Amino acid sequence: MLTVTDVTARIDDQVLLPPASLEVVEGECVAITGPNGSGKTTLLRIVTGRLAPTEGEALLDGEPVDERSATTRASIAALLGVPAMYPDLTIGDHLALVHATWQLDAADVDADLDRFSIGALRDRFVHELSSGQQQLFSLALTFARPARLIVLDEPEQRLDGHRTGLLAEAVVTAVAEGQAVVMACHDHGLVERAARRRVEL
Amino acid sequence: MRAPDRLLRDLRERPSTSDRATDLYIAVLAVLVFVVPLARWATLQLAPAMAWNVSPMHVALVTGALGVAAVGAGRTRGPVAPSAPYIDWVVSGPDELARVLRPFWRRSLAGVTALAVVAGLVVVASRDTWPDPVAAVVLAVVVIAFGLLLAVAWLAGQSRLALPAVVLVLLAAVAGWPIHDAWTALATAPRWWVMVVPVIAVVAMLSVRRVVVVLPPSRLRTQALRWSQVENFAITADLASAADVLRGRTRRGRRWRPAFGAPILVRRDVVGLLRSPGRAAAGVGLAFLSGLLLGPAHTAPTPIIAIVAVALSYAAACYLSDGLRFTAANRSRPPVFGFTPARTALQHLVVPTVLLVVVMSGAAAAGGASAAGCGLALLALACRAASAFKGLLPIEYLTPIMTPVGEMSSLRVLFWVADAFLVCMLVGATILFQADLWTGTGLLLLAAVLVGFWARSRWAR
Repeated sequence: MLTVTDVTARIDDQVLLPPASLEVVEGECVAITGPNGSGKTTLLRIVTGRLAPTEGEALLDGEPVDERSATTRASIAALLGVPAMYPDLTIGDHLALVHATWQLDAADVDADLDRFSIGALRDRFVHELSSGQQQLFSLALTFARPARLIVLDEPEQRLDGHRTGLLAEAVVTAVAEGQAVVMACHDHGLVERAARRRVEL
Repeated sequence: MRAPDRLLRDLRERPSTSDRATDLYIAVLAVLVFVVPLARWATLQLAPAMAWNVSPMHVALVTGALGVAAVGAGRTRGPVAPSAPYIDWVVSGPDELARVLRPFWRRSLAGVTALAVVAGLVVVASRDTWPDPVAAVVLAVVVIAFGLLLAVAWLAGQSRLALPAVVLVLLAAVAGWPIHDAWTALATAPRWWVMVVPVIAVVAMLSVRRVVVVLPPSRLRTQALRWSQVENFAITADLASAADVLRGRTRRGRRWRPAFGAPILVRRDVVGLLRSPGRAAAGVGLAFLSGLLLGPAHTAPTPIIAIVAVALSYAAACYLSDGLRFTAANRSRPPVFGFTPARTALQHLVVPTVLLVVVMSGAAAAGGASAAGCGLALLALACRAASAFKGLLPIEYLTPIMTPVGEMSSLRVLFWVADAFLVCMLVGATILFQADLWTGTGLLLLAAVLVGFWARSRWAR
């Protein structure tokens, strides 16, 4: 499904990502681990087509990953950094918008909220959330949309132990349903629980 | 309308209709307070200039410069400008980019067309005789077509397509000839060859879809987030931080550490400019243009040329005085460097002063106005320093000021933000337009010294 071969990222002579390769098939979760600055986020940006590699190639079903391609956008759901949110829409509104964008059943919004146990926050605006709740909400949005590949950059940040468990369950469920997950992660417990393979950078 | 857009519209209808009434009120007020007086003022100022025999080359220079400005603007904020959340949750959907982004492009296109219509009306209204009606219609069509051409150049700048951008800038420059002829034909009869501009504009518009689909959503997101930051800073009158958001990232010369005999912060400014060649070129280019205009500004029948020259010199000073701005913006933080604040500020003044004086005097020599170039350079820099040293907006300026004509605190904030710029424009343009060369130079130098004291008092405060 996703084949990344010897990709690198450089600006002038500054190496942002040393050569890295990755192969992900449907129904598996691959964790990318490594110290700060090893290039995990850069690799994920290449995987999602937001950054063109200096060398090497990233292919999705044999085609170069390009965020301008409707196929790429339809296939990959990504949580890289803090997503932008409407200040005047509630959490429920945001999820309804995602459902409208993907022509999903609006009634499933409750299920998306319950996946991360944030149903009680449905009518809150984004600025009324704690930083951990914002992370849960970002995860809920990312998992709400249909995708064949889910890309997560340190999804465990700011989550307590219980919520990290919910995240692991969400990943395991997605994988069981045939989705592929690639996540950069510093939480060894989460990696142990959710990932089938680990790639060290 | 697509399902997400329909949903957003429904969600947005929740606020009471009074919100919409307020928006409409503000729009009408802005037109009445700013657009109409500005158009009227421009009409009055342009009227005497109509006696001038402006050559097609001059018009081509202006239209070409507008093309360059459109491409440059696109790199910072293009015509396709959805909000960041819309990009994250709607543009990231499965629909074709061209379809999702089309409404945003059309919105900007409508804005550019409206601007072109207003500009055309101002120019036609500046004439002292009634134009030939058919020629007036032809001119209107040509001006609107030129507006469309600029909009496509704006889009090409956003898409970072180098070749189309260069072609569009050249076309914008070439369009100066038919625009000139369409204008001069107002007094006689229409010249039909000028309709080549609408033909070019239509061809350019046909390429729009291809230009839109190469826009990466991540770039749209970056532009949206950056612009949102700029708006937030601008609302709090923190223009220095707003400008800082917009400046390009330095990528060149990371290992270049020249050693030459100059104070350390002077060296820093030189290195900074060389590592930001676009910024340095823009500053020097604007200073050069300002200097070139000084000769004609003394003899022109309208103050517009003097006003443009002063505005360009102030913009050049902003581009070239980055170190000064940085020092002023960070003065309230715990000091890192081992210099006194005064010594730091003085060293940061050296590079912009030398560059502005040399470039503007040199360029002004073409019109025999070298001395005025030197005087205006110093005035612009003194005003820039006064602006940089003013610090943060006093919180009490945000207190509402209720008057019979409405709440006026925003006007006070506006004057606070633009005070040094307004002083530069009023003093500089008045002296350039009213005084002869040597008297004017003396007055400019005197004004620069006085503004320098004003800047120093702000620094000391």
